[in-house]
Amino acid sequence: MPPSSPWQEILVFLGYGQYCPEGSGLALLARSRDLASRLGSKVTALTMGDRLIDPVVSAAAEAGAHEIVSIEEPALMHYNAEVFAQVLASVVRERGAGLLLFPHTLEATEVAPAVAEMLGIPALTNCIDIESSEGALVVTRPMFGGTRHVRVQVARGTPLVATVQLRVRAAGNGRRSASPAIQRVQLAAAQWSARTRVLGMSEPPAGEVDLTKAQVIVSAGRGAASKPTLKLIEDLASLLGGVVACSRPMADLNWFPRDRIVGTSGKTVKPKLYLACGISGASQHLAGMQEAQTIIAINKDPYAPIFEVAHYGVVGKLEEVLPALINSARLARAGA
Amino acid sequence: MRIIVCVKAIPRGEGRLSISESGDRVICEGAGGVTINESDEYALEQGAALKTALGAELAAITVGPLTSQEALCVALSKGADKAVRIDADISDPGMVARVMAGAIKRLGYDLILTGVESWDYLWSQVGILLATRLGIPSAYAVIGVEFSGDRKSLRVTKELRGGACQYLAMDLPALLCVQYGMHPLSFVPPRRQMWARSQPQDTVTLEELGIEDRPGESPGPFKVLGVGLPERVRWVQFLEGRTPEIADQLMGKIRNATQ
Repeated sequence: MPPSSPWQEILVFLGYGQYCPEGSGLALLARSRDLASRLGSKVTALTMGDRLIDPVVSAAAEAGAHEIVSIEEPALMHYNAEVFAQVLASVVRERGAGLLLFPHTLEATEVAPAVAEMLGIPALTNCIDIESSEGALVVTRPMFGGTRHVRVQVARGTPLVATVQLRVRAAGNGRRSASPAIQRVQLAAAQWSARTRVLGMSEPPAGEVDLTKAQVIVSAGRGAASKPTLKLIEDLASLLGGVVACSRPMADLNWFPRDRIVGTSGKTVKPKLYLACGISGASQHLAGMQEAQTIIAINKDPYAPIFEVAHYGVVGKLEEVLPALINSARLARAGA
Repeated sequence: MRIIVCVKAIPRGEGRLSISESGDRVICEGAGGVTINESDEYALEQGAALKTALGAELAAITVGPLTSQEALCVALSKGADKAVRIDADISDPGMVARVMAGAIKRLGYDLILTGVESWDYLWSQVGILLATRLGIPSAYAVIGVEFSGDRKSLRVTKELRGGACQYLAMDLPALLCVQYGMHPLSFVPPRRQMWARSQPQDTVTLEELGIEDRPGESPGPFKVLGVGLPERVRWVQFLEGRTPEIADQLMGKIRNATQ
């Protein structure tokens, strides 16, 4: 029996196949549990794949899911945007759920608007926070390259699809759910029609260095796009025993090979130290590095979004700060 | 074959932005303050490359006020044969997709190209909404495309998370959201830019598209509470002083972090 108010259930997409549970999905689930207790809703984690495995159940319980809906079909182990959108739209429709939240990934960016259009409801994409206030939802989104933020109120009960990339330290811990109810949904392939045929996929080339295992990463952004500055970055990385990575535009501009990209279209890294040089901090980049243990950012713009996730910040020119830092690193090494 | 590229004019940089007195709108100051959205420019370059390779016709379309002509001028300078502006000052992605779908159906199309996001509102929605509305296959974050011999279908390479790629086949008509960097951006000589400014652009009104309701007049389910600079984050500690002092402080933080 579908709930009568569209906000009686918050559905949180936790991932599919090997990408379940997604760390950012669990953070969103925990936040949704907080929202649910204020809104009088229940929180349901949504998973896709051939079967539901125990680690997913315990992670969802830990993050506070009241219920887990496992859509079980081997074809859903692998991503197909068109199929995912149709399946998710039918689940939302059937449950009468009014809120469907995705962690903001490349896949969610493709699927969420399609689900919204199929259901005839609005989508708020690329959100960085979602809170409740006086029975309504308040969503924060970046605009203008992340240099401005907008806070949008969503009227109570409005059906909504949203993609949310919580800043990890803002996510909270949710509250453990004793034993979430589990509903397994078996689907027949006849329930969707696909005009796109998936021919296959390829993993990224291994590259010279494995960024995901590096403990120290010195990363170059558009603000470092000159030979002398990149030389400074390489020297610094070498002095610190680290490796050099980049933001996406630097690979587009052919300064780096693609295997050095950090972000949604590159690697997700969790080093001890991430030193961001001249990186403004587009959402796609932040998603790939915000879980580093210590983040230091050097940027000439004090309002660059990178400072939203940095522990330490320096507002200044790379050409001035980096030589001084290299000097300090040399002295430290000599004294060590 | 007709290829349509969707482009958008955006403020030329954040330096020209200010926030309205009411605190709920961003205002772009100054004349000549707009340019083509970078992500759309990559879609345009790809469209121009396909035009040359396939002998196709390339049309560029935008939704926006008169100043949006700037984006179409760039499109014409880079090889668009036709430029169409839908005269409407709207930013809601659902509404933009709706009016674009109306105009694109009238134009006729085999392939539609869009960018992956616009720098101003960062929705990343219009391409997918448009494809869903038109009922055609689509792919997001596309980095490669090949036509079949009979030019009736496509083989598409798109990005997935973590640098992985997925390969898809789809029949035309189709829509592709082109990822940054798919085709290098070209330089347009000033003379060609001047020429593009003298070329005709078509204007379509919402009335001509049969869209009666005036976008923006009803409050809708969303209310903007405020727009501003990102809240200064609680945990960032800015290091200050003369550069050598900052460097020494930084080195201390680095040593602590890497121990």
